[in-house]
Amino acid sequence: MQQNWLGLRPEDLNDPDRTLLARDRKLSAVHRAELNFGMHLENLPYLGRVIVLDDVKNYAERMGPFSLPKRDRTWIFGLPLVVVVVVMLGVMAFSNKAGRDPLSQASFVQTTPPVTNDVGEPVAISMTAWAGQTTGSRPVTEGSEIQRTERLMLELHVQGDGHAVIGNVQTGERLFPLDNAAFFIKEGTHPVGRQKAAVFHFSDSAEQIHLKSYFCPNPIDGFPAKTPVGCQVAEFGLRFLDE
Amino acid sequence: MAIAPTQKVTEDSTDEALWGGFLRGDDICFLWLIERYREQVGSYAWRMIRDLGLTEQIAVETYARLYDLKPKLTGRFRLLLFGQAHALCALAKKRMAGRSTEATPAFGGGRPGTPEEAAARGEERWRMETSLEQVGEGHRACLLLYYAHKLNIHEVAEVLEMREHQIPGQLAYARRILRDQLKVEV
Repeated sequence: MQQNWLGLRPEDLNDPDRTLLARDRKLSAVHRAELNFGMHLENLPYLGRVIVLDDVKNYAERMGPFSLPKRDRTWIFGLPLVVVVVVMLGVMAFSNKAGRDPLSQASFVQTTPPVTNDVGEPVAISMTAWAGQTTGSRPVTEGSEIQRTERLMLELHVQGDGHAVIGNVQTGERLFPLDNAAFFIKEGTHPVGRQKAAVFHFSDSAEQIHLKSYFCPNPIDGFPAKTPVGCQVAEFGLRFLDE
Repeated sequence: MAIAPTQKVTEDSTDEALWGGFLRGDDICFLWLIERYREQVGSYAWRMIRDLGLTEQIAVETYARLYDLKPKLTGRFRLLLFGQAHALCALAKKRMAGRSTEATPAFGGGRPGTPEEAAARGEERWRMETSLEQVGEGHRACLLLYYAHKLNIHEVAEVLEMREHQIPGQLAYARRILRDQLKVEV
């Protein structure tokens, strides 16, 4: 490690340096040599004309009054750079407005919407989702945007007991439960999955995801395009961020 | 309430006591300060600009500024003094840059002279003077203010408008350059 403090006068050393010098004779010898070398400058003479008070007073009367010397404003040369950086950041912020990191919005979105429709009436089923990647997950609301790399976990909020089925409207594919199995849930909020929340990946989808869930008194086969009689339905759409 | 007796200021008083006396209107205090530091100011200016005429002018103007600006100046006297001297040296350097005059030869301790004369005055000093001239201005100022004129790290940083923690590094580098010039192995 470079020890720049070597060669400083004792009063300019700090306590750890003094301790180190006291312990290390070799370092102490180097320090003394550096200091002695510097002190050679102490006795350099000046053989110019000797000035007296009258010289000073005459000069002050002749050349004064003086003003305090202005310090060089070197920082002013950095000002254009600061302006450029600020403008660039502004442009970047504006152009990146649509592509901002959705994780940054996580705290602003509502995590669990109430199970009501647009006029405040209670409905039997609604759906919410969580988008996740390796860094963590965040709640996403109906109509919001996700990245293609993000995986989706779904939650159902139901009133009453029944069988739920979730499918992809665009492909007509049944997503959960597979193989016409039954997924019976009781009133409350349930992650979509068996032992733990199932993870859905929609990276191959076109521009948006359109999911639909049916909540029926009896199990249903496949994923019907029309809502079966006696079933409640909830839809959930998401868009992919432009790449 | 007891009034503290005014301390008598003498030629041997501290810089601050003399400066305080001068601020109270006692010109003799300023005279003592001039006598105490006139060689140091001249020495610094000479080794920074290597022009005898300008050096003498800087030495006088440094004190003239302190004399004239005294109500506006605050701080330790030594810092005020070398702050003014350094600022004037920088100004002189700028003016000299536009001129094509030769600087006064380094050897001779302030007076022009030949190497032979210098050798007669002292070879060691001649080598130190010529080597010091080869050290860059900023590092030279740092060396002189710290070692020759005994400013502390904080004051050197103040005069050179640098950060305090930069000074030890500057000094270490300046010593190395000077040593290389002198071809001295420490």
